[in-house]
Amino acid sequence: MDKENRHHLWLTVPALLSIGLLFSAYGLFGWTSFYRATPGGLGVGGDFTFDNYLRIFGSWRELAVIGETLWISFALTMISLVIAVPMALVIARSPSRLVRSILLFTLAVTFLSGGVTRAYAWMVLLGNKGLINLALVHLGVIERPIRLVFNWLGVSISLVHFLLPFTVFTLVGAVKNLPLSVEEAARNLGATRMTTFFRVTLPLLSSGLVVAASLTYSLALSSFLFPLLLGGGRVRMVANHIYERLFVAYDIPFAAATSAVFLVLSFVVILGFAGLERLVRKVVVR
Amino acid sequence: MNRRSLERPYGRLVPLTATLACLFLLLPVVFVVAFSFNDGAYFQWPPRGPTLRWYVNFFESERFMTATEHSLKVALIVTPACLVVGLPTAVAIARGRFAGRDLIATLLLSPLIVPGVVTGVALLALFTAVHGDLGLGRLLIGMFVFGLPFAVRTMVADLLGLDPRLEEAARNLGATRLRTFFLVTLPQLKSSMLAGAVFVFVEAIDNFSISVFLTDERSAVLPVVAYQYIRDFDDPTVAAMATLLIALSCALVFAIERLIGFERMMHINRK
Amino acid sequence: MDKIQGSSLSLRRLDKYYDRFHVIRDVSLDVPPGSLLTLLGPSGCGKTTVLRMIAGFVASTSGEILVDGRDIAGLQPEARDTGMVFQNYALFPHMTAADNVAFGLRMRRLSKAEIVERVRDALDMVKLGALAGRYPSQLSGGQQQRVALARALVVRPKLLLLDEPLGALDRNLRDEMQAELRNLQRSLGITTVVVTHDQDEALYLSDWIAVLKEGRIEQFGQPLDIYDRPASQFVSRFMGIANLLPARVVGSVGSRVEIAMGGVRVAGWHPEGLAAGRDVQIAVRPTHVEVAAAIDPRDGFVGTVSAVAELGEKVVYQVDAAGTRFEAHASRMRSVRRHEPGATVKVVLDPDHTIVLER
Ligand SMILES: Nc1ncnc2c1ncn2[C@@H]1O[C@H](COP(=O)(O)OP(=O)(O)OP(=O)(O)O)[C@@H](O)[C@H]1O
Ligand SMILES: [Mg+2]
Repeated sequence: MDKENRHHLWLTVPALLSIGLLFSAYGLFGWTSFYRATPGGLGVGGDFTFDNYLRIFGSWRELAVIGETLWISFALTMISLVIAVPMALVIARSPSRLVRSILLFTLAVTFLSGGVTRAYAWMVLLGNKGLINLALVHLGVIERPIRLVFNWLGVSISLVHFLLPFTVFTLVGAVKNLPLSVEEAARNLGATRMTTFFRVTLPLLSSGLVVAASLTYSLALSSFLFPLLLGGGRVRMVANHIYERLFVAYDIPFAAATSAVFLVLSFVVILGFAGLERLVRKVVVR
Repeated sequence: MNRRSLERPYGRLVPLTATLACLFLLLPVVFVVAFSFNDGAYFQWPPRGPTLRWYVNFFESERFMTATEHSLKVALIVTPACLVVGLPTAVAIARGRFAGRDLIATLLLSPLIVPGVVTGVALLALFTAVHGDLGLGRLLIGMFVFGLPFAVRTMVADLLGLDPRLEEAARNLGATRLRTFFLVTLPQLKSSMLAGAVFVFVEAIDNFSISVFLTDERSAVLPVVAYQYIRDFDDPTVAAMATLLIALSCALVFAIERLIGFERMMHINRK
Repeated sequence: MDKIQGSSLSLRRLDKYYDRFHVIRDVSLDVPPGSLLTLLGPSGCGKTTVLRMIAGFVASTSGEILVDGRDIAGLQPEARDTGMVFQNYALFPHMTAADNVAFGLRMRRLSKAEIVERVRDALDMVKLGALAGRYPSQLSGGQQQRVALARALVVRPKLLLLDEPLGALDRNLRDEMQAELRNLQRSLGITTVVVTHDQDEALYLSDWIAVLKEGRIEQFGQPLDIYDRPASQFVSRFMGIANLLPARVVGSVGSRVEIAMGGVRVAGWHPEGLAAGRDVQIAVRPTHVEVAAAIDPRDGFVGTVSAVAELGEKVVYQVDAAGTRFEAHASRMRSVRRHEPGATVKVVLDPDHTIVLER
């Protein structure tokens, strides 16, 4: 048995080549972060230096972009979770197949219709003369159109829209793994729906919640297209910042250094979530 | 006394939030479809039309047509490639017992958490360094390398969830390892292969953060062209394109439902 | 724990539809306070559905559920004051045994001191006092079962509801828990409803048994009634009566019915007696079929032994006679005469346990 399974190694060769290519790209890119951009053009030269990193850690502006990205991603993750939990509960628990299907189809079609489509739709919807402003004015909620796009609000709305399907799909599995009878037991012992939710359902979902949060957070961190289109240059996240370093300032080494810092941060965050998940599982569900 | 309310496991807030969330999710999708038939370059109320002007515009635009051709080409090459390479890899990771298996698995799956922009720039740096002017080939390689981990991950998860007794039963009935794989294992992987394929396909058509780095004027693909069009012109031609993509995703969803059922693919009701 | 003031339970014309499927049909029964009712029947007959209707997790389409004369059919589950033991126990995995047991008391906002005391009592009652701090995953199946029982009982509910409580336990543990459950229920005096598909368990535990078939009550009665006097072929078969044979009524006096089978007349029992000439079915438990010598003077069917098997405490015979096949169980005691395959014998039925069923 063991002997036979060793042949399996050969099956991974094509994939390893592909991964090798990707990692050499990362490696090369990381390596350039220790050099300087040659003036004019996309060249790299000079001596080995930590200058690019010193520039990042020495500049409030650079750190602010990173900090803002971390913070906004966190907020969006929380918002997505709050909306995703009820959706996952309905998908996993609703006795009506029709209800489940409607939710699933909505999520699937939204998810599959793509980022450009959705970013564009939100741009038009949230514009000064867009449908949302028009409706709000018409309903008398506001007197004249407010700014919904080219600021954090527009970016956040569209990003929640982008993140939500991922969050829900990750949570559904966790809810499915929670036996309904445990919640029923709480009701039987005199707990209301609300108490049951907060004392039984939520604690038991906590490890799934952390997993969903981790995925949502890493997706939010790397968002690029939505801030690009809906931020209108006024609002940027790290990915946009890297893009600008590259295509506006033509500074590959600095973009590489920013990417490296950002990547390390993402890894730390993901490791943090993984640790948190293990902790939660140990504390809550034994 | 409302007996029906007994069978609701949660209070009203849960279905209410779910309903509102559905409306929120559908709003831009429905809106962009309606907007694509609006006879006017800007959104206005009441809408004018209907018109097919923007569709005509889209189909007559050489830039959009070449981009569509490029995007479809990438998707149709990369999707099967990811499956063909991903399947044996997934089997090796899920079933193999060789030194370094966990390391290989970790390496293979780690690009999943690297932001697309970083992958895009890194690949661009590599191609520039080796003077690899491959035209559309850059994106083909990029999307393949990027999509493979997705395909592998879904299939590994599925393989690990299979009941090993079924394969043992087949071996016990005299099937060789290879026949067992093709007659018993592979059919059970249908749902994850489809899920992986759909994901890679959609990503190949829609991905922006990698495409924007790996394409140029001659190899432009849909999302990049759409972005430039929004930036430079901003009329509902992009809405027409979006509507076509939405139609495609609806078709995909219905195909999945017909082929294996959506709840099954999402592992919601396996039995 | 102190004795509980038992409540009476009555179901009145309960019906349940799932969409168009009529899964519970006109179920009515009355159980006096303090007794144990078993819902017995094959898979899919609706036992769990009835139990969950009483607990409030399934809404009855129509009908009443009266506890101490008060209709609870419209109340939320948490307002019904029932204690349920779920099939797989449904213990809260994130709470210790003690916290599990305390949950219902906390919901009822009892004082801390009282909670502590009652939790201790309840865990002692199920002999788990020493394991109070363990989490469910650190307990064996039988221990989890006891925690579930303590958790349900500690709130002193009006009704104790158990869905296949012993189904997940192995044979020995099941017997032990059966005895324990029965003693506990009797000593507390709590009205209890048990769902099971195991007839032995039902006979052992119950004061009353309702046999369900396709959502209907097929027979309702006390255990020995159901065992000795099944009212239908379905109940006979379900209660393990292997001999169900066609016969014809010759005449009857009161509940004693004379029937003919293969030209031989024997006596049987029917609650009201039946008119002569009717085609009927007789149901006889193999233990009430005696394999006697061919020359035995009693009425019976002469035939040949076609198979003999010795199974533990009994000898199982198959005898071909009267154009059909009888199954008979005899004791393996040495004093009982053994018959070999091929021997000519006489099959004698116990008239008191030969049930005549209308067809
Ligand atoms: N949610 C539901 N929707 C539709 N039909 C249902 C539902 N729940 C149960 N049923 C049907 O109602 C009938 C009774 O089910 P129930 O679970 O009460 O059976 P049971 O007697 O407990 O069986 P078992 O011994 O297998 O547990 C079955 O035919 C079942 O298919
Ligand atoms: Mg049941």
